[in-house]
Amino acid sequence: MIREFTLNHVWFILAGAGWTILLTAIALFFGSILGLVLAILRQSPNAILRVAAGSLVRIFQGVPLVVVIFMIYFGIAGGGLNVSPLMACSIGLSLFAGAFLGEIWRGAIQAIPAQQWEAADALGFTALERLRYAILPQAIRLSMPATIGFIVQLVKGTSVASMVGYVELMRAGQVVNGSTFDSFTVFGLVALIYLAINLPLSFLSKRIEQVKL
Amino acid sequence: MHFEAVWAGLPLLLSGALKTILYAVAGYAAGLAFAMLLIVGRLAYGSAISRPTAVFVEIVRNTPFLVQAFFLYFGLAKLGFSMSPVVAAVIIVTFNSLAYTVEILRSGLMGVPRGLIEAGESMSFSALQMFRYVIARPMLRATLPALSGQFIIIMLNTSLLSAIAIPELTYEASNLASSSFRPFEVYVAIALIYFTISAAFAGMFALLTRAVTGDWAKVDLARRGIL
Amino acid sequence: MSLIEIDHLSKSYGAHQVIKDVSLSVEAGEVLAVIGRSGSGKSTLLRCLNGLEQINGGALRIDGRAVTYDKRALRQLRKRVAMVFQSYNLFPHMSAQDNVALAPRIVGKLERKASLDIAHEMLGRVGLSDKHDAYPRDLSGGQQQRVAIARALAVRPEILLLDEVTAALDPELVGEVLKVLGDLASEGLTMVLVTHEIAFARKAASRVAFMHEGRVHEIGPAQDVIGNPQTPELQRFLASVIA
Ligand SMILES: Nc1ncnc2c1ncn2[C@@H]1O[C@H](COP(=O)(O)OP(=O)(O)O)[C@@H](O)[C@H]1O
Ligand SMILES: [Mg+2]
Repeated sequence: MIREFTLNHVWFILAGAGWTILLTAIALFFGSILGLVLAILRQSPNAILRVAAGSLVRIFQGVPLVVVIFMIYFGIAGGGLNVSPLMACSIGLSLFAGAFLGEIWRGAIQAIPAQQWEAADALGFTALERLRYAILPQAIRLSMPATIGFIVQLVKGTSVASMVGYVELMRAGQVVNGSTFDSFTVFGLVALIYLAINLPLSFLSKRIEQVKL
Repeated sequence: MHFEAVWAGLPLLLSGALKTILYAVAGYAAGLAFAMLLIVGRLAYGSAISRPTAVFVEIVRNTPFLVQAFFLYFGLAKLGFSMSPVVAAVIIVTFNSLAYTVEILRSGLMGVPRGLIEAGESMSFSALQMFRYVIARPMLRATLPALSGQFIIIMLNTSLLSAIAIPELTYEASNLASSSFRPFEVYVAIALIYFTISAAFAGMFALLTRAVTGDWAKVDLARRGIL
Repeated sequence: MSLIEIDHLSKSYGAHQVIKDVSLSVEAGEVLAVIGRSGSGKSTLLRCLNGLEQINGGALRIDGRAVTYDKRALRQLRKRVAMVFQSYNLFPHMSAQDNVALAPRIVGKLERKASLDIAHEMLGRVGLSDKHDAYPRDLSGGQQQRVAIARALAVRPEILLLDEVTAALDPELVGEVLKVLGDLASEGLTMVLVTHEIAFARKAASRVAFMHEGRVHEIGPAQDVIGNPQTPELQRFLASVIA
């Protein structure tokens, strides 16, 4: 039975947007931790750690997000464990975010001039103190535009969760479309909501790119 | 783990992989070509062309690939503009390529020394001549690494075309996964295939970059008898 | 026993030997000025003294203790031997007082309040008591370099190394930094300073070493080395910098 597109559908889609934001936040949280670890390991004097961290980044940048999520989803389920779509997507998106943020932050760390590293050395800092007090604060500021730009990619990436049936914004649109068949309105609305989430982030990213340190 | 099902389905997966590469290369090249046209247009007509471009670019960059595919394929059909999945797929990949590469080229254009452009202006080059003789080389040279990364991202995104039933690698894999009841093995296998494609194209772009930044310059100098 | 003992020191980058069999010593309270052409190895010598570069041959002793390169020894060394760079290298994300207070807090393990007290004391010594909260980008080159000197002094080092600390400054800002250095010298701080300010070296340094192609070519009391150069290399060098 075909139903009219009603306000209830709009609420359903907006609730989906809420889950999109939640999924983004989860992935951003765990992805930042992973990304920071990867970025730091890639400066490590230990070649094994450096190569391992680099390979992890390269793998997650060389395989589609949807395939990563499917592997996690079916891999855990195949091992006999129960895995919810939310769990599988959170893990997949966190790994994805970790790899990209790790790469962005590694670039920022390496862009801090050698003299800054030396100044910290000359003050008697250990390698970790040097990162913590001298290098990272500068690298984080430097990478802000790219980091915020990546959050836009992450919001977009959460739409892949719809393919394992997690009802975020995209999936909510598909569900409503399945009963109303008003695809133009439904996916138009979904696109507008993504724009409403992402455009401010994109503009913020551009704005701070123009501000000098 | 049982990879027999993967072996049996390998021909199917490889034909899917070939389609993945085809959609990625065709869409990316078309998008890049349009992006260059836009750059030339900007040189010729200034901001009259950059404002509508900016709106288009922001819409594409700030909405998910999947949503674009559904809107174009299902949404427009609702209004009576129906198209085959293949056409929708090519349009989506081209749009995404265009939206990202035009920004990359624009940043490359800003890096072309002012003096070079003024030299071109002083010889009253047309926009096309300016692009061809003054801007194209330094711009491409500076942006090849970013263009390479963007190609990989677009190639990986074609996996989402499976949602509108394009028989590319991920689509073939999901069929094989459900018919063989071995989804994990199948997805591990295509992860490897995607990774191989990424690495191969990254390698080719690296070679191209080296040729453009190093050896080609030498070839050029040799041709003019300087070397 | 001298405070700094450099004993047949050599240092190479790959096949390129930059310091060749250098021996000299510096007494506590002494100011040694190192002069010489660009590329003669002055910076490298200084960087060896606080462990930024590892030596390849010979020995280096500070207060009788050989310089070694394990983490803990380096930390101890750098608390005693502080360094100031040509390009200041202040941390741009920190105010002047935070730049100066950082090492006392992190390396010296002081409370924040105590480390800020030290920062204020040191900024006072370099004449910047009114700039506690200024950020490097808001300070002139001369002021930034004085903050950098305060930062180096904040760990209360026994030795201060200064590598062409006025070379990056606009000429009208050189004087304020040299004045600070002169004050430190008269307070009895041991300093090794690489400089092109020959007049300053003559006035403030107790001894001058002239480096040439990785060796100490001439060394002696400042008046003698600068006023009465013995070798043609030093004569030519002095002629070129004074002219
Ligand atoms: N990190 C390095 N790697 C290789 N060579 C270096 C390095 N640092 C300095 N050198 C070389 O060592 C020589 C001495 O340099 P330096 O000590 O900086 O001289 P100065 O400070 O007297 O100008 C120069 O030839 C320089 O090129
Ligand atoms: Mg030097």
